[in-house]
Amino acid sequence: MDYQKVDGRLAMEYDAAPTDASKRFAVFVRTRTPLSEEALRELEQMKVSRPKPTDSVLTMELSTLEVSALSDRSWVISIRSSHQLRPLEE
Amino acid sequence: MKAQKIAPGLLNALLDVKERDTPALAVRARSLAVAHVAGSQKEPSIPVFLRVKEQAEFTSLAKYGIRVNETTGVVRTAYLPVSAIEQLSNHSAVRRISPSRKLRPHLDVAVPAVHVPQFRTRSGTTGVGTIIGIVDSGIDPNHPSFAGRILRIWDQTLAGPGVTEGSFGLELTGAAITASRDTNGHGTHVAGIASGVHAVFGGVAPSANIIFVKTDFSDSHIGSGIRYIFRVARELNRPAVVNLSLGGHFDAHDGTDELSALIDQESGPGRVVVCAAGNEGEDNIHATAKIKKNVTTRIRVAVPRSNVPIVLNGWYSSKDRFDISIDPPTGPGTGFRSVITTGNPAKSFNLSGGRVLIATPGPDPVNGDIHFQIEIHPPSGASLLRSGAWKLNVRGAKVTSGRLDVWATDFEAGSSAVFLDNAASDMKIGSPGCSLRAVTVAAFTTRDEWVDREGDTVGVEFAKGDLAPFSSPGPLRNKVKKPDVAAPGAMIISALSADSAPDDAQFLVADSKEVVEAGTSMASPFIAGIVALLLQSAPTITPEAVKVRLKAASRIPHKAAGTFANGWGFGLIDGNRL
Repeated sequence: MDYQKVDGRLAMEYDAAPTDASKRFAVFVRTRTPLSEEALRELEQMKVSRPKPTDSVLTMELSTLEVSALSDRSWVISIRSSHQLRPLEE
Repeated sequence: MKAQKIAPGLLNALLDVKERDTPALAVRARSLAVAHVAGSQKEPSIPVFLRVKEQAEFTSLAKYGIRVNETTGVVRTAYLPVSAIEQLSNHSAVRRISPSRKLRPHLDVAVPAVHVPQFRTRSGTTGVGTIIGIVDSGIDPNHPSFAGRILRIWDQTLAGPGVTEGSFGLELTGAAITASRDTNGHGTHVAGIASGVHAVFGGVAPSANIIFVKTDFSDSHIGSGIRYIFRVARELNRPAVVNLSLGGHFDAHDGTDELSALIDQESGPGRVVVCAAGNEGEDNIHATAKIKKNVTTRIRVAVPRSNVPIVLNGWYSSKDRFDISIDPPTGPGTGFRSVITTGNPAKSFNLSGGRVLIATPGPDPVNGDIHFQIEIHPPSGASLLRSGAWKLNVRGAKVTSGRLDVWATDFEAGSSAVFLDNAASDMKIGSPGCSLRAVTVAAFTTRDEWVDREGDTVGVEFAKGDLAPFSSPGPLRNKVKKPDVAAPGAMIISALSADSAPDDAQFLVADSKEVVEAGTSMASPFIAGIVALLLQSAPTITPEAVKVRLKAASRIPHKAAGTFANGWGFGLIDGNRL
């Protein structure tokens, strides 16, 4: 687990349950492009549909175990948990 | 007669009729839509709105000439002789009788105020052949304003296999779109502004098709929704504009956050995104300070008594290193935390005032700046935060620049916590309004009063003809100029979702399918509709070219062309200059 690549929320969740595969988090994953064939295969295994070599920002659902594994990949820049936005009516 | 059930406007009319008879009806013939005022054997009659008990039945009133048009619903319409209003008011199932007001037989103030009809006529465009994509709270699939034009709905909140861009939710087409509903009302109102069909309150691009993503407002799901809309538009070989009337303040406020970057990545020829600037113009959600070496700067934050956790989102240059701590209103705080570059940089503290999480990682891998995030949760075993002034303490460990920017928000992306010290009036545009390629829109006030369904005139304190005071100003943290332009955002009358109800009935207008709202949420779809008109003429126009055209067509009142201001952007859009 590369803690410098994940946000505080994911870091705390990982420390609380590092092998928990049941809880899943909506995340953004930033990547170094172009993505290699190996990286694309790994993303497809993680249920990313038809990833492209030029995809620098991906949206995914990951367990803490998967977050840890991805954070160690050299082609991953950062993994950030999804935040709640709101409609902008006054 | 049960006078308390009758709207004031109608009571005045009845009093006048009692005193003056026919002349009282004649002067109101238009405003109350009175039929058979004079020279007819039929009794003068008027249409009215009724609020009634849900299962009320009114066949017994027919003998008085009273015709209630609907057999179900709590809001109904009726047609009756003026002389029978008293009888109607005495019916136990009737709660309220309001006059049906005559609407103006032309477009409402917002659309004509910025000369959209003139642009449509001159350019011969209505949005036909284009797609307006909206990621929002949902759309009323049965609303007449959108009849036959909603191509698809990806409802991310329904259980289902999802789509290519995310294996969650349900994609709906054809008659099945009615399975998705907008109980909030926000998305329907937004869609009406961009593309509604209505004789009076019509939208900007009434012939565009709509692809809607009903979202849970999680920003990664919003990102998936944007991708979905552009993918479907590509498959249909149509240009598309996506409207995002939503936002938050968890990001770096410089356009490098993931959602803004995704928008920049997905935008291109014939693919434009339009975002609302935000509504924090009057809220002290941004603080800035000049931090000195070995000196502690204390910034107080007012935290409300609430169960929604507070977030403090701080950013500064990687040439500096600051130590961070936070103290509750009373009792000991966390103690200083330095930047942590190895191991877990996040730590939790159980303080008397709340459970606090602080993360102080090394330089952000994307923009290279230093970011810290503090979360304040209710104390363990309690449901509410300790309200009062919490103190954010920042001490310079290494200082070259010294500038610190912090934003206060909460887990619902609201502005429940505000700064009491060092509050700054600028840089309040967060993601996705920070997207560099998106068109970011501020709100302008075109209407400050309206007639509600009861016949009463309701007003707001926003100054008509000026920037709305709630509109969030720029620039971005890296000094990039935002917002881009301004458009009507207060008070806007547009489509009402039948599955929603406004918090205050005063926002309902006489037309039972429309409602009044305000916000940069309303200004953004205005521009999205204009972009759809531009796309009809130039299907491969780029976001950059769109911005050039919008900038050239906008003006800050009483300023020279091309003048920029943090609140206005390049000014109010003018269809006569497009």
